[in-house]
Amino acid sequence: MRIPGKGGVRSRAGVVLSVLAVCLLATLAGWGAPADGWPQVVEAARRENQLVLYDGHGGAIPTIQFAAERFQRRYGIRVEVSVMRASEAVERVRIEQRAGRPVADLVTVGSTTAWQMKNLDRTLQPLGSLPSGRKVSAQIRLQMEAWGIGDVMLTEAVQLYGILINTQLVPPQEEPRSWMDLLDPRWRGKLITDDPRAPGGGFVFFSATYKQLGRRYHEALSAQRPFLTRAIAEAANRVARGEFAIMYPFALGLFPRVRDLPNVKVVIPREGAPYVFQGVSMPQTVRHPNAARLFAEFLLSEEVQRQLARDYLLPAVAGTLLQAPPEVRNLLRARLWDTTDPPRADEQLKVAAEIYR
Amino acid sequence: MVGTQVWRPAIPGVRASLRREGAAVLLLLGLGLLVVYPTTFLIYGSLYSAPPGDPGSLTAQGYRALWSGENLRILAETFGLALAGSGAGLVLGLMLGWVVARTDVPGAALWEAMFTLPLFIPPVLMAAAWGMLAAPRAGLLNAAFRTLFGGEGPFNVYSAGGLVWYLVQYSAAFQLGVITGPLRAFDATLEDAGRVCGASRGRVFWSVVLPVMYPVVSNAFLYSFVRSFESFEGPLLLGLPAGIRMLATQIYEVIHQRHRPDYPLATAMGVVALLLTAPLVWLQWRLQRQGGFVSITGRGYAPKPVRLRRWRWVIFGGCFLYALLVVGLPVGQLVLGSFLRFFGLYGANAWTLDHYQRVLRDPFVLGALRNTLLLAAVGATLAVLLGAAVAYVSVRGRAAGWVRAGVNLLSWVPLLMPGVVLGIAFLWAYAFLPRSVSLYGTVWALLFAYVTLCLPVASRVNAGAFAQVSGELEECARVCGANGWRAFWSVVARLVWPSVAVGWILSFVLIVREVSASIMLAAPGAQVLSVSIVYLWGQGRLEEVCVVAVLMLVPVFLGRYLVGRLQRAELQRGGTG
Repeated sequence: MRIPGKGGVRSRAGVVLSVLAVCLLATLAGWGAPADGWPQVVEAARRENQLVLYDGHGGAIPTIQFAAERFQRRYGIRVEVSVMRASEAVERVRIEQRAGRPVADLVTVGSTTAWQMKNLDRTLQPLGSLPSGRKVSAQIRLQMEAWGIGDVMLTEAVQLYGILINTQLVPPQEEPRSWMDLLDPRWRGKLITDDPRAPGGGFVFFSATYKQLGRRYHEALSAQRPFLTRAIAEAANRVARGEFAIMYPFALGLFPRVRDLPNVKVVIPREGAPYVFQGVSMPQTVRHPNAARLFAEFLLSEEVQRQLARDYLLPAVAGTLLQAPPEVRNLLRARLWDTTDPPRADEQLKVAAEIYR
Repeated sequence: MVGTQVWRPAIPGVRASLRREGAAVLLLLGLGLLVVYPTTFLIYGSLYSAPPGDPGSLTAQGYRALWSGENLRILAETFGLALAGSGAGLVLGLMLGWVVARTDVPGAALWEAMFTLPLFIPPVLMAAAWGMLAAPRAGLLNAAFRTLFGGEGPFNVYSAGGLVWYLVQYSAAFQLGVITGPLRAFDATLEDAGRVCGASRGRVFWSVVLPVMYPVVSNAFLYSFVRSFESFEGPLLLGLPAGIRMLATQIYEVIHQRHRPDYPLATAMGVVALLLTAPLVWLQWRLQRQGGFVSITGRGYAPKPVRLRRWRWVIFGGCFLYALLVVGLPVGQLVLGSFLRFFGLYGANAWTLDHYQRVLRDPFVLGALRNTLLLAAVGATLAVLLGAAVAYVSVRGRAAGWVRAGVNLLSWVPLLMPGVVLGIAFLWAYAFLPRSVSLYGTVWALLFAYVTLCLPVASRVNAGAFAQVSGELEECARVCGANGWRAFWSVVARLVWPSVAVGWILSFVLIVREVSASIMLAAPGAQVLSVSIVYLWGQGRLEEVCVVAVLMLVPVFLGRYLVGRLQRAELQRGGTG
């Protein structure tokens, strides 16, 4: 993983110091150390024999289903996955907790949603220490601690965002090399984007570029009349079909879907890739707490982490990427540029709505 | 004392009424639990600053926000678009319904099944199919136009016109589906009487057929209008890109596209939708009560078809063209899509059966398919039975006016609220049931929600059919010694079963397509098809969504075709009465 640019951590020295600080904190808190009594947790999980997982990514990360099947096979614990959108997962968890009828044991979330569930809804509980917790990349742990959600969200992967182009509509010499190239008048009316006014990839891109390139960048981009949509997988399909020349931001997790088509290509601009953490959280009251923790631990296993890389998601466990196929490595080694700021998400969404009317 | 004198006689009146109309009152109470309970949560949500369970205070902030210029404009636009879509759908539905039900056009049963096919296509796929057909630059129709005539193609589905066209397809299909059965059973002697008096065929249709068909037509139109008013997927995929917002997409945005869902505003929109459409229901009911719309009486009836003679093949050609345009293009796109390697990319190596293999081996989708078929079959059956009870009480029952009005109104309520907020209302309501009632998180919650959601269509279809059957037929059976149940079963049920069968199919399809409540209530381990479509759609696996749709389309199409055939056969057998 390369060092973040101007965004969160601004200099190499800063990063070194920050990593040291995290290591120190982790040591003091016993964080990442093999949890005491883990075999008992596994035993209790087997006795619970069931796990209910709300997949708030709406099925967009296929690795979740993969992990559920493998977990079931390895431990014999039945995993019931319910697919829904993030807002629906948040509301189902909230109402279950308030009504005292807990159903979900785990919920897949992004960092902004986890922050909201912890601080506004107060529906999450700490996951506790996991034996593989120490394997999660230090940069991720640092950022999660900075937002104050390191205790309630386990990050299993990082979603990176680039640009998807239709090679029949975008000749090689005109391919965007920088995020600034999207402002070229030749792309007016030919861009499709994940809507930045709603939580999701479009908003991650908005937050990152707003911090890095400022408001005027987005005012100019808005003048390009991009086609705003929330159907991001279908947006990639539409680029492949030639309805649009360029899709931005393009979640690399969608790449396996269009990878084999001859007319599309992913470009990572030279500034780097906006990114967001993907993980799981455990609601305040659950019926299968041990199975939930065991599954969270399983997400950090080599088997799942490798699959995440195959699905073009940057594995959270440092070093996994080295074992990924070269074409995956080349894309996922992109420079991590910037991401959202969960505590300021509400305010930034309002700014996005002002600019993109 | 005056008060006592006034009230005393009233109480025995109510008691007597309760005794006399026990079953009807029981039905009213059942509907209250099924419908009013979740609606109460919706109203509560609109008047409270926080969602249920969270600390908050009474507030009108949702309603205040609703009265902004933008929201009022959206309401007005929604009304206009829905009226245009359902109005055009009514005209088309009546014309085509008359052709397939009342004429000797070749292949009538096949056309009938074809014309109703759009109802069975998931709206998200219909919108996606039209996006591919008529997108301004890359749409196939525009590409064909360019090849044939040069220049830019004229089609743009991302427009108000495109959105109305999308609404018309569903609206025409629904109204045709509901109207055809009663039209087919229409007593031709009434038309003959008009013709004997010198009226033209057109005049007879407008002056005799339509007025007698008023309950069926008005029920179908009103249902269709409200469905268009609350339409979601089409406006989301076709309207928003053109800057056109409809009520459901606005509610969706308020709930799903904000950092914190604005439930007071979203639920206030739901309540306002209810308040705006409820008077239409009341008006329709009033008008229906004023007239006599019986076309099937004890005198016997003769539903003989109109002979088109030299127009027979011209009208056949018209049916073919309409089927090609409304059904052939999107359904063809859907079927082709299920065999394409990548939806929308054509070529010599573009075809595959892989998607069928993958879907038929996917335990997630197969489990969802199994659950959905079971839930849809049971849910549609329960909904049709309940709908028949509602229709019987409100149209033919002898209960007091307030009971009949209450039953009728309550049966409409689930339709009058947009599905996006109704899903939330179900979630809140079922989660906060008393501790001893464990509905939430079980498959029963979904079944209750489905029956509630299907109640409007099941009641409407039944009510339209019941209104056409004269009460004297039942009385005749009773005079001959049959008890009430026997008279109903052997006379009314036998006459209305084709409409009931259509109601069952429509309910079945409604359950299969339902998304909002399914996502909110689906029990862990009991996923349903619409949620798996969301799952496949979320991954951009459009081809597999097409496969799922085709797998659902085939049995439903065959069922619809069989109902039409059976009805025709039965009418031919006993039509001369």
